[in-house]
Amino acid sequence: MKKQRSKQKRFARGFVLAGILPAVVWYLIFAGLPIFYSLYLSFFRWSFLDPSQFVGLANYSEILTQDQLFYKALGNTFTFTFSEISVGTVLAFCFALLINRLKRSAPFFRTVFFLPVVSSMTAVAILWRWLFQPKFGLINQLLGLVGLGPGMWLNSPETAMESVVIMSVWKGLGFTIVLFLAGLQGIPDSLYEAAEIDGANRWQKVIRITIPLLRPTFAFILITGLINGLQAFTQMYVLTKGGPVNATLTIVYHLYNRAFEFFNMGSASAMAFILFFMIIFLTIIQLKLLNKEISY
Amino acid sequence: MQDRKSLFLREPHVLWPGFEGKQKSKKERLFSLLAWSVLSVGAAVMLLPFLWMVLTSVKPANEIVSYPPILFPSQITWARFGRIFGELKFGLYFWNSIYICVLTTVISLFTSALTGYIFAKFEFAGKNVLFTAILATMMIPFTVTMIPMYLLFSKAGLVDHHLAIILPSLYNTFGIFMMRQFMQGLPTELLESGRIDGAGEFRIFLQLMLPQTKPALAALAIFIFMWQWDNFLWPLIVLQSEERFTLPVGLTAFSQQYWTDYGLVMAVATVTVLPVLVVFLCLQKHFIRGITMTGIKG
Repeated sequence: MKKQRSKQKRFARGFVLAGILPAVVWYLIFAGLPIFYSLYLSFFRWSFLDPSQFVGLANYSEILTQDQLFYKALGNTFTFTFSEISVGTVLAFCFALLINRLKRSAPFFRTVFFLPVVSSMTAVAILWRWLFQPKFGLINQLLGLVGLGPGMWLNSPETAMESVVIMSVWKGLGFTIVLFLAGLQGIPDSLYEAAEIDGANRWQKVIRITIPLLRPTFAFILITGLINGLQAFTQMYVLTKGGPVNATLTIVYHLYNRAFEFFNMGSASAMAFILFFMIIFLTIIQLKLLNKEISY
Repeated sequence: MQDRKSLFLREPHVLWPGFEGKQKSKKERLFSLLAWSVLSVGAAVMLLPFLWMVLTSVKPANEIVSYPPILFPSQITWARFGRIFGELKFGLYFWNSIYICVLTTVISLFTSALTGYIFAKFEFAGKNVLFTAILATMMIPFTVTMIPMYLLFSKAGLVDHHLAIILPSLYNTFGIFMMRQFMQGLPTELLESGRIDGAGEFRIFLQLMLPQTKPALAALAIFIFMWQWDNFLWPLIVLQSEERFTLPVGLTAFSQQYWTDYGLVMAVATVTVLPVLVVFLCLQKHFIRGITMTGIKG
């Protein structure tokens, strides 16, 4: 019996080792190695053609002091992220409240709003490029029927980013709605009933009960929205190629061009780290702020 | 009496149930109608682009660019769909995407379950450090790792090879985390009973533990598959020859090449979007449950 036990223990040890070792190796190759290699690259002037040359922090200082396109891309990225999050969250919250009110038709609406979420981003972007087409696109045709427009949408530097935001909100709305609906279901009815007895109206109930209790959902949406928004690339690549006149160039797009169009890997790596620190910084600030508000 | 009056003002239904009930239901009905109308407008905005996409793809060419717009075509043409799968290599992109997605989903489900199970049910030296380190990799944006990964893969001669997409997808950090949480909730007695029966550790995992995690596996499978199906930036970087393109990369290259042939481009978009929508409509319950369970963006 004892012998069997120890044999089993040895088996268990072998099993753990066999299960964990490949994971460790994989993580070293595909997470550990790249991040250090990337940091190393960022200190070098490096391209496919030239031999690499150690330049210290020159890549970083060049990006931060001389690269005007970087600041343009930074501004675009923030504009995109904040407009998408604010418009998307407000709309999704309102729709979720309405859907939550309905009984029989709620699943129908939830499904319809979710359709763009499951559709491939590239296909959706191509579809919207066609909708935004200035001459024959559906949007301008519809606007024309009521005597408005035509808008230039993606073709004008002034409206290109707005158009990308419209498409992105359309694509992501259903996801945020489902998150809100899940959160709303977690709020006990008794709270609303108690508020009703105290004479609270619909608005007061939303502001005093729903929004405070959904704070974790809001926090999750804000943080994931920020992390995804700051790394936006696909929509811009398909819809506008970053144009016109760099109006929709994002940081990741700028970095992509630098690395894979100009093969300037050192500078691109430095930019990746700047983005990385920005994401970490903003996430920490958000977590701090949200935590503070939660613990009143 | 004063008390009764104020109580009546605050809660009339206590004293006169029919009164408040009737009034409330009317108000409630009005509000539901309002909600329903607002949502219907929203739903129309969601559906119209899809409808327009499908209609554009089957319209005769001259009706696509007509003004005022013709919503429903005078005749339906399927020719574009024939072209997509005939002379154009669309079937190939489709196949590449499907086999890569299925393969990486199956493998990373298995590795997530196995690694998550070990972290949940076994003790070994350095376990917590290792788990924290693995979780910490979730914080690293892909933007940081893509350049060194590209250089490593080009050194290994794997650029323009599907392995360059498959290898980085063998493990999924979120999957490990989720499966560990789920496995922790399973009774350890189950595992012990398997040991007493003399089953090997791997058999216990495969035959006793894994079947218990079906709902988590289903949710995870949908997310990994959807993520991989939509994966764009990395395949765009590492794939160069057309025969190896995955659907998103092929679709984008195609749309840029044939842009002015709107009907053809919309036919391609239709072919890409519709199968996924059909799968979603069939499996919706799992999708929605998956989101509330995992809360990650698909």
